[in-house]
Amino acid sequence: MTVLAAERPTLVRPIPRLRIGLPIAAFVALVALARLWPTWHALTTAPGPVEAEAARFLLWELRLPRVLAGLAAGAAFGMAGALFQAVTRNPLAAPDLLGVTAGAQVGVLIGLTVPALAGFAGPPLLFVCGLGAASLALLAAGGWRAPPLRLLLAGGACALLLSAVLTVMLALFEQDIAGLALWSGGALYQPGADGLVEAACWLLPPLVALPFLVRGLDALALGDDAATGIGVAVLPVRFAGVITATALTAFAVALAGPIGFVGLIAPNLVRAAGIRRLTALIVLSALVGGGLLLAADGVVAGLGFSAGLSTAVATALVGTPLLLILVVRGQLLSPPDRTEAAASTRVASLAVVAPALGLALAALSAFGLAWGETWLAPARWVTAFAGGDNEAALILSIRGPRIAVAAIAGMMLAASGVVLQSVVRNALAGPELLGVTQGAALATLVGLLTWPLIGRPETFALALVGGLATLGLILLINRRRRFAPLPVALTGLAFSGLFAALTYAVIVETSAQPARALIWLVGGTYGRAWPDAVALLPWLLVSLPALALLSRPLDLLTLGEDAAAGLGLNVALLRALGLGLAAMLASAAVAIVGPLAFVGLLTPHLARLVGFHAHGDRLPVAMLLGALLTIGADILGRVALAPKEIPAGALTALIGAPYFLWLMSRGRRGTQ
Amino acid sequence: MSGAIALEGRTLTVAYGGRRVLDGLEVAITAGGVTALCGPNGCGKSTLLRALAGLQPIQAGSVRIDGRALGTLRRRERARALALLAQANEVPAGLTVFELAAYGRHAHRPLIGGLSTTDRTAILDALSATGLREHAARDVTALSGGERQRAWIAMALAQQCRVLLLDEPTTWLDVRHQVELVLALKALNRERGITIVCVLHDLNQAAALADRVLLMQAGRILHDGPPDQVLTPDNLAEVYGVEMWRLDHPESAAPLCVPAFAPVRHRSHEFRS
Repeated sequence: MTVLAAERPTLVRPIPRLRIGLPIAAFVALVALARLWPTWHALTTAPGPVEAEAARFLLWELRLPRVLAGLAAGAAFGMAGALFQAVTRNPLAAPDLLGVTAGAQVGVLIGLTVPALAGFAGPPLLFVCGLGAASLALLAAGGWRAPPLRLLLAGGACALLLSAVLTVMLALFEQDIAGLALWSGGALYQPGADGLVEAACWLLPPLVALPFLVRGLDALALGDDAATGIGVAVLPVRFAGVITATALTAFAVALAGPIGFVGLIAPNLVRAAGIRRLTALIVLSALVGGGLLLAADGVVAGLGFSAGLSTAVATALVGTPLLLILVVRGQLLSPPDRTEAAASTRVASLAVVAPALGLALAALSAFGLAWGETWLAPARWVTAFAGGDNEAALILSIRGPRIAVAAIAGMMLAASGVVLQSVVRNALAGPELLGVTQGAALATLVGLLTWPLIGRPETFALALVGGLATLGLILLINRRRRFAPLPVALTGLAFSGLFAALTYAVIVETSAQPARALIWLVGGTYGRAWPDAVALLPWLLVSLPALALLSRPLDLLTLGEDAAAGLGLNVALLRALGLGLAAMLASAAVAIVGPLAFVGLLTPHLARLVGFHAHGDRLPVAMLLGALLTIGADILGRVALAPKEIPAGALTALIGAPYFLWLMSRGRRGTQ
Repeated sequence: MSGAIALEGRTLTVAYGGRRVLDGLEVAITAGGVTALCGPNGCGKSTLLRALAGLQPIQAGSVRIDGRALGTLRRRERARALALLAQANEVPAGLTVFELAAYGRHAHRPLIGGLSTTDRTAILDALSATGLREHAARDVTALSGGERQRAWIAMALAQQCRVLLLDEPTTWLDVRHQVELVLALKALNRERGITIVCVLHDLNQAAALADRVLLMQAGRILHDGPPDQVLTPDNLAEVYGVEMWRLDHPESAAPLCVPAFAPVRHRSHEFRS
């Protein structure tokens, strides 16, 4: 195309905007018509006035609003994704990754549990809560001047924090908000025609704001300095961009629930078709998003899954193959890699920090053994060990393995996160993001449901198979592209979305208590015994030498692919090895504790924030922090609301995320 | 050197984390001239350039453009008055040369609406001035290094400003592209009267391009004047700490500075740590 253009000088490159836009629009229209056709047909061929009245009601009050709601919500998600990606200059940004979706979800929950606010439920409340989440992320990232990557990191932490809040609330008020569990899988709200018109009013302000924003946001792609140089008010534009995107997200969540996939995938699909300019990108993302959601809803309705297969699941089912095809065909152009630069000064040398953390770990473990409903003084441990104190022995046999499992799993997830972030060269990578965790969890869950009586080794094998199969698929798909970071991350995101949605669907289909099962999914150490710890330990021990061997090559990789290759590194091999090791660590941990969030994603950053950058230092520090965090969460979850148990997975985020956010804001002040 | 002052910095002080990079620096750029900023790495050249462009927060002092304080100008006014070409520029994938240059019109356009005829004329004019007219529809990423640099200059020209600031525009280019760029800048200055301030590492380029050289060290301007007066062996030894030969260009008699490759004098204590 460039050659042609050079021969025939035209001013604007013949970007096939219409050639791409028209088929998309046609597709969307087709899907919408297909959804409406049966009802329309029923109306036109109705044998009598009663049937015609029923069909008319069905068409005008139920089916058409549902189609329009799907279109509008999908379009809003698509546009919000495109905006967030432009604001942060990261193609992996999306409303759910920035915490905005989770914030809006909290808004729904508040609307349900606080009767006084019931009148405000809907987009306004969701917008306020989503904006609260975005502000929290911004505040931690260091305000409007925060570089995009910091913003993404802080947003990720906020998202985890808020979903942890949601889980805890679910655990505590199970009966009151049982409906939310269903909703949180994402399903199209059916407000009827009036409700839809009312909701649509909330779509207007962001839509009106968009044209004023687009050109400034587009210029952000040049970099902040260049954009400032040509007269773009970078900070206000970013501010307005976030507000607008949040409003769009709030609207979409109010209509359709927290459907995460559309905002990420729609703009990337459009970009893969060669569209770069923001105006076209936003318009087409809206179309693609609406089409995706509508098609997914059609699949749900067409297959007759009324409640089980939610729209979110179907969206993932429809969207994943599309994204994967693009990755395989190599149509996703990578932006220039940017390594994260969370600059910070080292608090102390490793020789001080590591033993200190080790001591803290020992102290916390001892405290965890002692503290609980019954206080166990260390003196009783000895007698219990000697066989003289049966009560103490029993309590220790409950508390001991939980702490051991927490420590080992925390270390493994942290190590996995460090390796993944370096290999993928994206600070948002983590076992959760690559789909490894979700793959392992799905395999374990399906196994447990199919053969309720299987034992530990089989569970282990299932988790490993699930995690490694996910990784294998990712590697296979990206083999020809030498495991380049962005395609790997996108493939992983596609799988994680798909598997999480499927897991959720399995739970809803098979369990009478969706809330309970949802809590299982958060991960935890409840009821883990010594054999669990014994089973987990070898995996950690085996991986330690491998981690030590990989740490220097991983350091080289931070210089960039070319520089690392120039220094004699086999980059493709290192990536494959690193991914394999990380997947193994994460899968083994998931087999025992379930998909524990936060640890793998954010402990690597914690280690960096306290000043450890080289992998030889960062790995041990991150692992110790991971163990500390997980044990702390385990103890707190056990004791805080006894006899109710808060899942450790929720607490790791509840403890870790605020600390992380605080460190981020403090680190910024230190460097300026 | 008696023309009007286009750009002026008064008692400029810039500090990064407590370290003063510029310390009460005074500088006045003559309108219609070409000024080269030279000096060793870390002497504050780029910081000074960014401060003059209003991109660098300054702790004390002020920048005035055409007699007006830069801080009081609105963002768009400033973009119409001066343009800065940064050292390393990100090139977003899938952008044509024309589209890149069109970004330069941002400060001239209303918030909504397409390019006006004036905009198009300005963009095409900028592309012609940089010799990129026939490359208008090409992808910026598909250009050679020299062409890409000129595409960024075209963007700055499309801003239609009177002052153009460039940070090491020739650093990544081969000799041919360096020469082309220097000639292009000279032509812009001569034919359009654009005031140019340029950070340069190559002293011979500075001598060929500029009518005035500012030699900086450790956040201060030590020498200021025409190239043949500033680029003397003594001054260069003082600033860079190496022995240099000073020759005359056989044709233009412009100064040529060649390192003697004699052992470096140890004077590191004079640099700020």
